[in-house]
Amino acid sequence: MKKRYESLRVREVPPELDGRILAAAAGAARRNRMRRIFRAWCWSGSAVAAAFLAGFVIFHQPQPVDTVSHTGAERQELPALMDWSTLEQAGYNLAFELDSGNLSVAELAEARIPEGF
Amino acid sequence: MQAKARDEDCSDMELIRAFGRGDERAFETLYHRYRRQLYGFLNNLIPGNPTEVDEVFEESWLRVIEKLPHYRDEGRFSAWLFRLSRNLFIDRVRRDARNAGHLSLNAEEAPDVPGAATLHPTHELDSAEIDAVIREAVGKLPPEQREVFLLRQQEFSFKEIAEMQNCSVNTALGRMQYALKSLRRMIRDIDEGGLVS
Repeated sequence: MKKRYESLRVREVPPELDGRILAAAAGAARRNRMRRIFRAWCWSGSAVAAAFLAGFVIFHQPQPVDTVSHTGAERQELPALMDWSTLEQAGYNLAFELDSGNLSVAELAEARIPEGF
Repeated sequence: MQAKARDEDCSDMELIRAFGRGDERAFETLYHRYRRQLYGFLNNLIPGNPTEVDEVFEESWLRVIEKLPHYRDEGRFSAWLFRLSRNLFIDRVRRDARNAGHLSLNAEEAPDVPGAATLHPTHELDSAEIDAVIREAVGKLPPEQREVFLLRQQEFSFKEIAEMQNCSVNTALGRMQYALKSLRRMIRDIDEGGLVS
């Protein structure tokens, strides 16, 4: 096909038309940029929030009771606690009985004796 | 300067994507690539009505700006642009017809285009006058034939033209054939003094 007739181009595009169209495009480009920035913030904000949440969950787990490992000083105390002398043991037992006895008297004092007994 | 040269080497799709990312210079390049083509097409599609041409042209590009983020690479951007513009004009004609307005696709109803009607039969035509003759002859074609002829001038394929006109390729070919026949007859009539009033 023969190249287009130049004569069919009757008029040039008026500059004011160009100006209006390009101004509208500039506005749309600005909006596109803001949308991209906002989307990027949302993604990075979500990633940071997810990281915080994961960190919170991991580091605030309740610790199991018997899994605490003893330090060296604590390990040295344990044998000492177990190495009671006979006297100390007897004293402890007596105190326990007294306490238990006292407790029993107190319990008796407070107990209500049903009628008929 | 280098950035501008880079933009001019980019394909239409690359420019569209860049515009989607907020690069207004990419749109400027795309606009300057097709603005004269589209404006010339509209001027010949809507002969003798420069106000309407300007309005359709501006509305077409505003619509393009709005729809570009959703544009999918399904054929040439220029075909999509021309189809959008043409459909916009047809909608305006239909809307105007409902309001009993002045717009028409029919060249005979358009205001007179200054051109060959004032030529004297013995006057030898210079190139400007030949241009005027061609413009007037194209303006007198029936709307569909005129459209096919103008779109072929923009180097659209008959397949693209058929898609724009929502007809078969054979129909588009037929319209082109009739358009060329009519143009030859009109131009021959000028030569023999037939178009002089």
